[in-house]
Amino acid sequence: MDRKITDKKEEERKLFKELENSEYKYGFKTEIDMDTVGKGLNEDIVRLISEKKDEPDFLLEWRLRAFRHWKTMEMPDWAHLKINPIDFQEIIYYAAPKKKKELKSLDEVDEEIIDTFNRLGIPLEEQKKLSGVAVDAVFDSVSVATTFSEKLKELGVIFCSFSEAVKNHPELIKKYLGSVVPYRDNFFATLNSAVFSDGTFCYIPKGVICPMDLSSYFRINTANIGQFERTLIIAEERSSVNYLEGCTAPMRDENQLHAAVVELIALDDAKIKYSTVQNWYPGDKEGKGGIYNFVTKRGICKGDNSKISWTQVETGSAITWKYPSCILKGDNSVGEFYSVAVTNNYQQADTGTKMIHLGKNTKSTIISKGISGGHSNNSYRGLVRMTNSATNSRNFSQCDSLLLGDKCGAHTFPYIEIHENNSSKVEHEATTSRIGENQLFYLQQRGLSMEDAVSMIVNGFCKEVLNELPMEFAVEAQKLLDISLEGSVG
Amino acid sequence: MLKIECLNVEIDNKEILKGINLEVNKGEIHAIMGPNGSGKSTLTQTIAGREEYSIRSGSILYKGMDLSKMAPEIRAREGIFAAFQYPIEIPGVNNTYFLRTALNAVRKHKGLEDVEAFDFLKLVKKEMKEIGMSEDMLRRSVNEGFSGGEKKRNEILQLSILQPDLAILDETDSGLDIDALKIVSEGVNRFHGPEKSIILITHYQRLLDYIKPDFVHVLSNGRIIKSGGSELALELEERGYDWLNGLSEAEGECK
Amino acid sequence: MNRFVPADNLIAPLGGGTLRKWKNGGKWAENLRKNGKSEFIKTGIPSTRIEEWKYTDLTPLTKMDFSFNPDKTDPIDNALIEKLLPPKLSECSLVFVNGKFSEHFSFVHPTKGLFIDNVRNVIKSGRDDVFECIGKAGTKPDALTNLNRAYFNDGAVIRIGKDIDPGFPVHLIFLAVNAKSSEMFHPGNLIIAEEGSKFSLIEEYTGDPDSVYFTNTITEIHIKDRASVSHYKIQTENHSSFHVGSLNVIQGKDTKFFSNTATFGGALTRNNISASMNGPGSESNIEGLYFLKGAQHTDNHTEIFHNFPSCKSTENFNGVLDGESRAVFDGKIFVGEGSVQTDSTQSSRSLLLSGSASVDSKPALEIYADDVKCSHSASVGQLDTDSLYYLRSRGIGHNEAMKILTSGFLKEILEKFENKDVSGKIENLLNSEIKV
Repeated sequence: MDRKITDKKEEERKLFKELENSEYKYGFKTEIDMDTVGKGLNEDIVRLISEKKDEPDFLLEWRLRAFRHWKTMEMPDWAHLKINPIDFQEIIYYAAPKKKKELKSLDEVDEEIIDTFNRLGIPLEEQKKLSGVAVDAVFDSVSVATTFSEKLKELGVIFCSFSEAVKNHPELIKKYLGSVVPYRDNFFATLNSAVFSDGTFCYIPKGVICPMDLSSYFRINTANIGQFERTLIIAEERSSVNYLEGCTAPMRDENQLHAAVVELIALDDAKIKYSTVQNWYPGDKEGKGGIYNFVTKRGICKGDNSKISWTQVETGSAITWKYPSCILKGDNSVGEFYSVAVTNNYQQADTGTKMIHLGKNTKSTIISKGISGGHSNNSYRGLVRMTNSATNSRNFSQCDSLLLGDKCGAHTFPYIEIHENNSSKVEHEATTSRIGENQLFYLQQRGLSMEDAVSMIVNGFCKEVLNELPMEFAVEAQKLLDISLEGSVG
Repeated sequence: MLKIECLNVEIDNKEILKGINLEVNKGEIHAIMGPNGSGKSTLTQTIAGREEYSIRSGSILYKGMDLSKMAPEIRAREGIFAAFQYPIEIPGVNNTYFLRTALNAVRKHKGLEDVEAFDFLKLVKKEMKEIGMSEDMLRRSVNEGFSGGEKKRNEILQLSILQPDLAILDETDSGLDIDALKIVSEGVNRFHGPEKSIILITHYQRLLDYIKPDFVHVLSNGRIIKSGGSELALELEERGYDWLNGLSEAEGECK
Repeated sequence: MNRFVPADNLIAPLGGGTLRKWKNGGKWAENLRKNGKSEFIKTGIPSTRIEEWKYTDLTPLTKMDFSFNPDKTDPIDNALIEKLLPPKLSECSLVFVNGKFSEHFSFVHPTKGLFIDNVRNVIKSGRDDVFECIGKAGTKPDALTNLNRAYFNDGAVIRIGKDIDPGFPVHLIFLAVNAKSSEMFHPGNLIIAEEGSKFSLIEEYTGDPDSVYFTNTITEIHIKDRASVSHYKIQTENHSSFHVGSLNVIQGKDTKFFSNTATFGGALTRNNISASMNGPGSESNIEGLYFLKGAQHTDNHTEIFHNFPSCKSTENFNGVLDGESRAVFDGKIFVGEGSVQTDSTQSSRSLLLSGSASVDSKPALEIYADDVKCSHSASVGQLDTDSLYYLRSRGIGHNEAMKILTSGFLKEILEKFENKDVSGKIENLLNSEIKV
């Protein structure tokens, strides 16, 4: 009997060892001529970025206000993370592929870049484009291509790079930029506000149900570059959009910073569904290198009956610091957060959400699944706040953690605040356990290998979240889970 | 005693009961049978006064009073008792204390004095013995940690203590083994008398082997599609509910 | 705002020095006070920028003019004390009036293997050995602990001998009387339950309705291998008083600890409960209830440390809030590396009776071992409508049903209090408080 347990333990240990060694398959580098500014951060760099993008004055002013404010701020230390000091003067704040000539169409994008995205599974050429998904491809600091833009335009949907939006729709940028995440919001959002270089802009006009999924793919390539992009999505009354986001980076020994800001605005009866599969380079198995992913994502359900739904599968990054949130301002508005966060080796994740209930009859749901292996630490951190005006509102949160090794950590830090409100209700439940011995045994008894059994249980554990992903993404996410955790299992 | 006319009931804007007609006189036992989802429990909850169930049209008269205007506790004090299919667990509230408070509320409504603690306990213990409940349940919280069968017995205990005039038993037989079913039925039969009416809501015929109904009604998709004597139950048992497919309404069209 | 706020007013009553009333007292007591004082002066009191104090603001304390009179000369009328003294819940009780041990009202039942005395006496008689373990339980001393230590001069000292079960609880009563000039009391209790012993302690804090005072108390409990300790705390201080109470517990192997807290009083109350299971096979059970009204603020702050394998913990807090009251629950379950076969559950639930009441809840799991089963749940809301309907369907009126369910919500916790004298007393308090 004891022998059997020891054998099983041994097998588990072997399996977890394999997991630790699993490969990051997006770790290649692209050789291409880049237009790069020097390392370091000062007002001149901020002005230079703005100048390179030929921005209107209001935007430069906004960047400068953010930069000046940032200089007064300290990096937050409240997360359950050990962060090596970041030298903000050692980071390159702008790098864009050198344009050989003025681009007239997507087909004129540099072959190296097309190639890069091909290898990432995101073909950009007209004839090979993913059907049913429009893509904005961001390479280091700039958007290099946006597919289906023209087709979407026919419906009045604006889907373009942030830079183009600044040029072509300054009134929308002026109105909405910083309206959900103000430039003073937090250390990383403020930094982003000062130096952001590009990103994605979506505008869905009144009553339009966006006919295809919109997506951004973020790629960090240059060494020492920090990627600071912004995404702004505006869904007008009665409109609806599905947005997908993916990200990867080469394997490098140095940590690289990614500090993005995403703002979503949903007006009356509008729906935004935002899905992310985050697969930044996580560092090697000794914890060397990897992306520092410090992202501020927030949506406001500004109109009545609006809905914002966040789904994320976080498998990458050395450090993840990310809390996609909803401000439920409109009456009857709905916020959702579905998350799977996987950490392995020396990865650290502190992720969760905030649901701020302001409107009447607002509802929010939080489903979070954390999986930790190796020496990693995985924390859920979430806030649910019911204010006095949010009468008859509801929240339900379920946060589960699965432990796959005895050297890792799984933590849950919910914050529940109900202020002067006795008609609303908040319920939070959380569990932490190791992978079930009985379940493993049952599956093995039915002939499954240990690896398949673990894979099956982990997938089952995440099912509620994976079900929320659009089809194209769900498949990728499952594959990613397998790679992140199941080693040779394919 | 009870007169239901053209009752339409909805919950969350979904119509569940679509024109029910039912009359129950003093001393009668009516069985309402029907497949799952036919609206049986909705009928119970509507008569008992659950707020989520809103009466869209039609009426329920009880002893000549319009029930729709009465709070659930007033209905209870006037003699309506619903034994629920899934009695709720209430931790922290002592079962004896709960029962005595309920009995005194009913008595007060009738202009009677509160029952003495000692007399009450004697009465409860006697009734508990009759239906085979362990006295331990007096010390426990209302239904908390009770098995399915214990919960049903606790409902019957309340029935025999509160002595209502109209008892609605919602699937009281479900989850009971044969011995428990016998005991519970005996409890119900003891309760029954010329002044007491009973509505039995059940899925299966077997309860009717122990409690003889005067009338049997078949509820399907929110309507009573067939009514008859106790022989109807046997026929149903034999031929299944499918036998009645196609019947839309047995009597009295409602608009 | 800074992370700490200077609070010289809290330390000023000591004048330039520390308390050195008892010359016989060992150097250790002097050092304890000196160290407490200097550490407190370094920090002051924590502001809401400190995570542990995020929802409880102590800064009103810095604006009060405190006095400290351990040897007040104006005698308090015994008849008055008699009138205010709550009924004793044990044949063995120690009474502290305004922080000072009262021989007159205390009664110690001499029992073999049970050492009971007050801190002053123990210091005077030079039995310093008893205090060897003081300060070893609990996490790193915080500002309030340091403040308590600076004033360390009274409290109860109890040692239960090996394998001793006295068979009765010890009732500690802390009574505030005629404390008109913002007095402070800093009792420090030390309980040592030797191997295999069994002990039950009741702490009761109360005061007359007119006093204004600040109680800052620490009870430290050492539970040696195989010992079992039950702790009860009943707090009914008046609504203009401040109460910070820390319960620091350290457990050996195969020990049992039961903490039962009932809070009714205080303008501002903070209950710190910290239990460290420093041996395998132990269990910690922490139960709490509170009923708040008016502008009361209560913060239950708990930490349970699973530092060894095969330990079990349960924690349940239920509270009812009326008026503009505010409750905070901040409970952490910590499972250290290697603490396998941990079983831990935690629940915190609040019932809001009033639209002006607020709750902040922060249950946390911090887990560094894999073979664990941990869960927590937290809810804030109203009475369950299904239960309300059930009671009404049996003839019980709406208001009566609300009252029954509200007190049932707290009785759910009370049922777990093993001492029936204590739970009976609390049940009476509940019945008189809950009016819907």
